[in-house]
Amino acid sequence: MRRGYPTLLVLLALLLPPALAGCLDAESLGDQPPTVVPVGSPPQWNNGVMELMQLKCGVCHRVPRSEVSPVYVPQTFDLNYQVSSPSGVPGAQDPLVLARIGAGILRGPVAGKPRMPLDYATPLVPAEITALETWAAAGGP
Amino acid sequence: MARPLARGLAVLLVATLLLIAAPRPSQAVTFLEQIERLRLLAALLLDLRPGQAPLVPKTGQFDATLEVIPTPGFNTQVGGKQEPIDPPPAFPRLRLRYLSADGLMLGVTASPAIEVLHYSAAYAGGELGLRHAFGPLHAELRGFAIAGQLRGPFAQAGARDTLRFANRGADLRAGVPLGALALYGGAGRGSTTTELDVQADGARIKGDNAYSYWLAGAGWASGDWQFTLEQNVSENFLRHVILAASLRW
Repeated sequence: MRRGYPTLLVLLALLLPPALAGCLDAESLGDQPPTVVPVGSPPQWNNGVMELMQLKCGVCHRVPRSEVSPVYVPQTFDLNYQVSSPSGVPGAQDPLVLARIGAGILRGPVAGKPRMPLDYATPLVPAEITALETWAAAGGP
Repeated sequence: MARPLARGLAVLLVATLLLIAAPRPSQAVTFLEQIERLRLLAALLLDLRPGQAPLVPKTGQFDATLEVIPTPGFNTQVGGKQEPIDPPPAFPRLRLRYLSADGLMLGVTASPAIEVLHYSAAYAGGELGLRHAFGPLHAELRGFAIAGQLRGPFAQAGARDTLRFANRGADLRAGVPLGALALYGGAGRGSTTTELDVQADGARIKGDNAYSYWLAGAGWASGDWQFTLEQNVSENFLRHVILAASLRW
């Protein structure tokens, strides 16, 4: 056993200092880019808009509201569906939704409503905003 | 016997170093994944890791330990918002263990909700281990459970958001006494259930996650006292240390 001591001590001397130098670190994903959903051209519900709406809007805007939805999220439309949900709740094609997108709610507050998505939610990248505005302007095809 | 032991410890130390040095791939994320990671970081920092060499005592003894766990810095960005999370730079933990001469280890830890720098952590936990000496090699198989809640501003400055967590798991570690020094290493597997209540908007975000961890540590005995430094590596996203001072009687 004693013959092993020098080996252990040399190993410790070589390995412990660099190990301890990097001993504290937490990767929170805070510096990672947001997931981006590709949308076809022209944007349509079935070529990317649905995936985009479900990932970045419908997480909160659903009926009944999800556990992550703010308690004040409106229960008059469900953005996980194009026309209406199976229970009959209007979907993303609802005129109010299209009008709000057209009025620029993806870029800033509109009619007292905050910019969407809310600041803590997965942000839209410029190409996604353009795609949703083009889709809304075309009546939500 | 010495060569296999030295080789085994060398492999463990190199493995720990590789885990620490491994580059992390960039990945696109959603805000739910970012919140989940923050919940996990909090739950794993409060996890009940061994914090002690697995040596079998010659006689039964009690062990009172004060641990200090430094908090690593991290980016608190969630979606497009920098969350106001600013935990204390370190937090203490008291542990009480009984170690029997035949290798049984029983331990408990608990803390009331004492607010420090706008944050408080209340928890209770227990551990049960079985130690055995295989010649010069000491080993312990240990199971643990800990549950509690953190309160403080997580999503909005001045708010009292609540993160509840419940962790349970098991680990195996082995070590060798080298005079007053003891070197040890090990690995474990656990699972955590977390639940975050956001005061400002009433959202409640829950999750269940399993995790693996590896650890390497060194203990130094001096009279009735033992001092321990333990490096923990959890999955590929958390590295933290535990500093412990134990009084035995």
